[in-house]
Amino acid sequence: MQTESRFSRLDPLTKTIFIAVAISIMTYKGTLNYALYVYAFSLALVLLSKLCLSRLLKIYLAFSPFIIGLSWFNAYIASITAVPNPIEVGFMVAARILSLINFSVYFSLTTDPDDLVLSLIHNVRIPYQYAYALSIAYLILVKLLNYYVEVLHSLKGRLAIRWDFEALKLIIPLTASMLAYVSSYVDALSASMEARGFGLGDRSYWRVVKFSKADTTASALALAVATMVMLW
Amino acid sequence: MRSRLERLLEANLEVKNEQLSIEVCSGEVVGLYGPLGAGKSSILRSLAGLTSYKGSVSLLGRELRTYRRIELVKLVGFISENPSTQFVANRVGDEVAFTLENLGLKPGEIKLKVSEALKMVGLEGFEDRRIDELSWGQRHRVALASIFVAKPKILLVDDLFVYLDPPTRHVFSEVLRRYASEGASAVVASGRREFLKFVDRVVELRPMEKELKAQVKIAKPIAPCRLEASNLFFSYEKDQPVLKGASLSINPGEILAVMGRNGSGKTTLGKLMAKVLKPKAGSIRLSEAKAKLAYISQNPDSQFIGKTPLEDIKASLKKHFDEHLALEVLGSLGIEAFAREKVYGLDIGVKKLSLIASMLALSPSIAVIDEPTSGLDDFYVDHLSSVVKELSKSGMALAILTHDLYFAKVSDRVVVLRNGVVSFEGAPQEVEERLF
Repeated sequence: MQTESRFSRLDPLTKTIFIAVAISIMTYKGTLNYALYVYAFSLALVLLSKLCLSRLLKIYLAFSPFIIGLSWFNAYIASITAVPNPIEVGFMVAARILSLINFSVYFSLTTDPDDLVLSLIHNVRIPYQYAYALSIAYLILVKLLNYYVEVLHSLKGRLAIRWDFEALKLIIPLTASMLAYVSSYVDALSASMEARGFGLGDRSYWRVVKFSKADTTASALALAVATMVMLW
Repeated sequence: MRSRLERLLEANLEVKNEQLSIEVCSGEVVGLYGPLGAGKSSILRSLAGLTSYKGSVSLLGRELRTYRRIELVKLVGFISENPSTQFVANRVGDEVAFTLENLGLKPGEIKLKVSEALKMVGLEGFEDRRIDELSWGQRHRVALASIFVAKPKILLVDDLFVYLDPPTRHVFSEVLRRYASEGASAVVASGRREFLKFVDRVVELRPMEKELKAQVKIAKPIAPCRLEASNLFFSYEKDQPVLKGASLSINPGEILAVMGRNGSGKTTLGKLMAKVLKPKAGSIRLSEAKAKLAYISQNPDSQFIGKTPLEDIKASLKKHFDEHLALEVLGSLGIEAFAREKVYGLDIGVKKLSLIASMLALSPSIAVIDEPTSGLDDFYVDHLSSVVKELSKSGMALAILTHDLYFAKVSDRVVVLRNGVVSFEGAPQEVEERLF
């Protein structure tokens, strides 16, 4: 779901710089305080992009076993290896996971895949074949997720399962179905791309995604803050 | 008359050990008719230069093999059977511009041609719209525009019409005719004769098989059940309701066709009827509380749990499996010969019948079958019609979700879904003029 705000309209490269900088700080400064600062920053990005908060909370809920489990596990390991403040370790891990979720939500829900391709080609100078490969991998992932839901409905429809989690016992046919789907999708897509002349040589672009002044300012600011924090 | 026209394509191909000759002149729309597995897609891909072939293909008097890829892109356009699998971009403009960008045209020229192509398919000004926000019919038009934009001399259209609702099909045939009248040509492949009514002439690959006699075998007697759905509401996304108070009923032994345009909510309604999804509001009442409900997806690959049709039935019945009975069920549907074949290698028609066999093994009181004819040829459509009639005689209620007017004639009653509600209810004969 695309939204329109100054932060959502930033170039995908700028968003990548934001995320890379924040993750670097979080990793380099391994304390709870910094993890919380980064979490606050990631949440601010989500909110300033006018993304739906209730949707974010639903995603938190979906990942809650993972967030709680991993945090608890880290706190437990810290306690048996005599690390001081094991509870703090647990909270730090939770803040890190939540930050990563926020960044993923911010990037994926505010970035048009077409803009991502063009930014990679024009701003990062990646050969167009690789940029499209990345974009198509993203496209396939989204289609695969939708297809997975379709398979679950179909299995319920033939009374093979009653609840989603029961699909685990049908993991082999489910995987076979997903592979068959990807295989036929890739076959059709590659035939279409070939028929439309993809990969023949030099390509032109009817629109160009270029770094704006806002992107330059935001990226420079992010890199400056990161440098200062690292040197602190 | 044809001698005065420019001969664009002449092919003499060996397809599955049979010889095929096809000649296409400018201004013509030619149909390629044949059963499933006859090689229609392979022929079109060969003519587009996408796969190798046995024989000779002459394009504008020159052997196809001698063309460079870039030359072929300008001369031949290819549309796959399901255009939604051919989209590379997210925005309409980017998708339509894709071919021209690959050909290295200047941005100004591309903009002009994109705008022209969109106008031709009735989507003027749609450049910045996102494809996933468009209706199914509009998406198909985007696919067509993305091929038209390069103005190929020959347009090759794979078995696409079977996935389109009648109004979209009508628009497509009109656009293809208009395109051909401007000096180009089109070859349209289909396994359904009625979808080729608009073409100038038909090349038949090989004759359809004769209809099989269906004498459906049910594993256990059907417990009759009536379903009554009242005032159903459903939405996948907030503020985007798919159903806005749809109501219908189905009686034991009745065949009910649920019709509507692509994207009208037929599948959602079917899933609610089969209790695969829960309505946001409204109710579904069954006269027998413990009645079994089954839903057969339009994409059979999403529903198999066994490696072969026989194993698929076994996976349904588990400890109650009886191989002899399962083979009888498969035999009654005319697919016993495929009982031990790998399901993913079968024709889509056999796959659909195999899933019906797995469903029969469960003896459901009500079966919802989603787009049963999508991807099928005339032989399977007729066979499926007789299977459905036989099933209803056993007392099973069948809800057929379809946009196929021909197949809907098998039903006892039709309801039409429009804007999230049932807008029409009546006999199949009345539906055509009221449907869209």
